[in-house]
Amino acid sequence: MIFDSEQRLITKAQSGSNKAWLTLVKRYEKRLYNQCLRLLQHPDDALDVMQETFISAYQGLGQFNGRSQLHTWLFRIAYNKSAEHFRRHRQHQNMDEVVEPSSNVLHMERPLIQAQQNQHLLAELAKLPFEQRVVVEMKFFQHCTFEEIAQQLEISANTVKTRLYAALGRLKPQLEVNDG
Amino acid sequence: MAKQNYLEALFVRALEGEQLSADEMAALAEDPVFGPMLTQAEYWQGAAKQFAAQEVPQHWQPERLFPAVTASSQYFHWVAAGVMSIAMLFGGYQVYGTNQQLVAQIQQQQQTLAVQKQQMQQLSDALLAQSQWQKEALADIATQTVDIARSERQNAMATLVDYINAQRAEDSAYLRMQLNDIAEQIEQQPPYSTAYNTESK
Repeated sequence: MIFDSEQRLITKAQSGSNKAWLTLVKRYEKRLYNQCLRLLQHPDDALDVMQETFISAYQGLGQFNGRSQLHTWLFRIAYNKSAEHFRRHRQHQNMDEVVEPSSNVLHMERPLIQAQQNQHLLAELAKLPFEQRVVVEMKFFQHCTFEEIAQQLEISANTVKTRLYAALGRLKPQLEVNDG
Repeated sequence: MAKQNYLEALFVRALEGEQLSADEMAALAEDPVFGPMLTQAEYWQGAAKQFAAQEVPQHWQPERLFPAVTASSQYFHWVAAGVMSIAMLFGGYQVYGTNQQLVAQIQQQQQTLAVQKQQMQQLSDALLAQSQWQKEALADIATQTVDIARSERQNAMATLVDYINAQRAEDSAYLRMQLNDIAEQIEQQPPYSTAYNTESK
């Protein structure tokens, strides 16, 4: 299984091989978990959404036609699940409002400086409205082009740019304070 | 406006990862709108590179969600193949002894098959002949039915025509009688009723 190409694993998983599916899960779980963490800031929420994403993907694997990369498809599901999760748990706020970051954002499983940097970054992301956060995640962390982001989120490229510019403008005062 | 569009195009190229010239970067940095955004974008690009990916929490166990095939059943087909091999090995010494008997049985069955084939052919021919006879009989019956129906229709038509003619004759006779009665009545009327009519003018 280690040397199986991704396409072979997907084909096997689509044929019913749970072993092949588990291999794919192991390949992508860390990446997906961190994407969810940057979107939701809380480890428990990130884990919940990651789990829901893999369950949905497993159930819908027969519909995966290979036109996109598997990790792109998984992120698309994770984005939808994150948006649902955000709506469910933040019903008193709309999606454009800022969410206060969780006080316990990370488990301290790594060197302290790195953990603090991560925590700072996640806290900065938490200040963004959800839709702007998604664009920042996809642009800077996943290195997607504007067209790719537009296609993934099913919006226009101009809307993507607008959200990104707004995010960069929103972060400006906070970063100036930190650098000052 | 044109300058803003130009600067935005530069900014988008920078965000898409394209390397801008020194002059282009300077033009962006000097702009009061795009300059700060460029700084923020560069910050985020650096921060993203430095972000240390977290390990998935240890209580995440995908094997419980998606149970793989158990270890014992992985070897099932190997065990089955082994059992088959042993069975074939121990049973192999009997193969030659029964071979001759099998050959004789096969020959006998082939002969039986040939006889059965012949019988089937005969039955098939008989069925075909019967089928042909049935076809002809059916054709005759159909023709007779048509003929019978035709003559019956003709008889019925003739009967109807006779009836109609009889009715007409009766009706004609009845009308003649009526006319005769009326003619007699007219002849028997007194003359003054006719004169009154002519003098009333």
